[in-house]
Amino acid sequence: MNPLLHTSKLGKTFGGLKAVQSIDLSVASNQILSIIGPNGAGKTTLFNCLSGIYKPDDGDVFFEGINITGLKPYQICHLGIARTFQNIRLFPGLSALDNVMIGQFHRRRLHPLAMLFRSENYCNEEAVGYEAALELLDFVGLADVVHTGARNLAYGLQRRLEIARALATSPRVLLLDEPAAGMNPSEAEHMVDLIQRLRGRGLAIILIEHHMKVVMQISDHIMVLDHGETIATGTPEEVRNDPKVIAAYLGKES
Amino acid sequence: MFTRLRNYILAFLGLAFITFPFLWLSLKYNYATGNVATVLNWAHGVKFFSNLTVAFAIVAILMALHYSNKKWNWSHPIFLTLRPLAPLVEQPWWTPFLMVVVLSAAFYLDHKSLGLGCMLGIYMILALGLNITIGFTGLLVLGYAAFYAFGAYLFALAQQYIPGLQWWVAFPFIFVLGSALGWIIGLPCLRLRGDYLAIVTLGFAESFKELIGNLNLTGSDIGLSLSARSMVKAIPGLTVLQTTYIIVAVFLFVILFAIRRLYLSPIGRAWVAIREDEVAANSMGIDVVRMKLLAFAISAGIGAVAGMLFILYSSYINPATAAFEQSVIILAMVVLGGLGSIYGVMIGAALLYLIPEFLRDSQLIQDFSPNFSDYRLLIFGAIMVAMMLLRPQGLLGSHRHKHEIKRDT
Repeated sequence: MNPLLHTSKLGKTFGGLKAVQSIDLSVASNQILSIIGPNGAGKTTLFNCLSGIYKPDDGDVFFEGINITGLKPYQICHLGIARTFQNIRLFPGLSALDNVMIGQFHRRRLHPLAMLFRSENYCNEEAVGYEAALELLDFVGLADVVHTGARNLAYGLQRRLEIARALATSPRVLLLDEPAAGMNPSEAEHMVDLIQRLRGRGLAIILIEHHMKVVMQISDHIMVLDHGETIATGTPEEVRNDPKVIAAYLGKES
Repeated sequence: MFTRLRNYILAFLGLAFITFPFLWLSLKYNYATGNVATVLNWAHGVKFFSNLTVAFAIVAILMALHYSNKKWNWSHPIFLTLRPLAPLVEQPWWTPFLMVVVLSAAFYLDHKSLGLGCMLGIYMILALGLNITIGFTGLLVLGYAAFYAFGAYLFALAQQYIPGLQWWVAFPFIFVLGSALGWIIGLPCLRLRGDYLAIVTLGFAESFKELIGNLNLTGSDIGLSLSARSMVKAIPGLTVLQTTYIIVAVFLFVILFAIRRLYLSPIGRAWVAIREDEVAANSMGIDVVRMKLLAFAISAGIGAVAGMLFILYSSYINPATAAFEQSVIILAMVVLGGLGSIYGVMIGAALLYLIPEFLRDSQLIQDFSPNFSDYRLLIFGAIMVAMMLLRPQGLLGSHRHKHEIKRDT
């Protein structure tokens, strides 16, 4: 099986701190890879390296066999890797619809003159984009709040809107940073359902999550990080019983 | 469809009602004595009114066709030539109303008010232009007046070297050169995050002011002075000033429509996304540096065009145009009206330009202090602080409209 996204010996240091080091991960279409680990283990740093917000110090990131290390975030997004953020980063002053339509940005032909004169092509594109955005909002369950400002949405809905916005970039790999954080069990259940449906769309998903129930339910593979290093990888069953993982989460038996 | 059409017709009737008294009351300015005389001119009024009615009827019929049958779109061959009228239909219902009020004002305003109107239009254009960077994209620019002065000097110098150069020939070049200047200045600092643009533009404006104040080419401190009569070809039956007023008003409306369309386009969305969250915008596939540069370049180009209009109106330019005070006044207009609000910044421009102008002539103020204008900046500062405390979103907050273009079915 050809991995869609893989890294080799990826590392990032801040000053003397090795935030992540020699990470090898790979994910293929229709697969969900979960990354778990205690706080400060370097999970979000890893995401920032993958999505181009940080430039990795060591190692390489490959997307469909192409080395994408050190590309700008927008270039990585153009290639087909979209992400959500741990602390929600929507465009608060814009409506849910506009948030999603911004995700379509790079697929639009940008001729300011066509926009000024509202050429037929531009109008068609805009109409198609509008419908596509409505569909995505419906897909994540936001059909009722299309014109509501992102700032005024409930917390759970904001998380869903972030996913819709990421989907609007038509990604092949989706990086979800704690999509179920701060959710009650029933909301988390809905999120699991949504992530399953995302997998059904043929996406490769990398998931950071603390809700163990969520992680164990949906992951194909789990990777456990601690102090920036991979301490275990495998299926949920293998990871669950790994003594190193238990030690990292619960502390060592003395 | 019917609400839009109804609003349009209502607006026209309301306008007719309001302007009716003015129709035969044309004010006549006597150049010899400086007096303003009121003259009754029925024929003039009736002619103007009937022309207006015909124009409105044509637009109303077009609107009816446009909305009644989706096949009669603006892209239909018949409408292609009329396409420039399409923005009229997209605006809030009161815009055509306002346009007619503003344009017809050329016929009944006196000399002084026409001058105020020209300057007000120029300030509105400047506020709209600056709003693209500060309001939409969230980039602070502190030296916007430099682009204004750049356009003005460019046009004034071009006038001297190419006698008889007309504004309609010059303005595309002035826009492009102004944009290019904005691009060059933005290039080094827009790559960095933070308010470097504010400092760089501030420095640029100051050095530009010093440069044009010391070059012989630009007439150093004295500035350049041209003849308004050779620059503006008066519309038959109108004075040069009336024609200039109409030119400024038409530019204002065209720029207003253009900015509104850009604001509602993917480019406008990208600008607002950058303002709201730069990191997220970058991760969502927006080339942040490029879009910032585009915003700043368009903004600078509009500033330069406003400078050209200023030359048409005043036919005189000196280095004070690029002064820091000018930049601050334009900035204050944008902040007062509402960052990112297209109509808000126009209201801000109207308030901050007209109030000091009226106060200047007020007897009460004259009695209070003959040098009242010295306190202008102080009052602006107080207004800014008050706005930041009481209403940080400005008089009109910015809100984006619902989606405008729908698929034709």
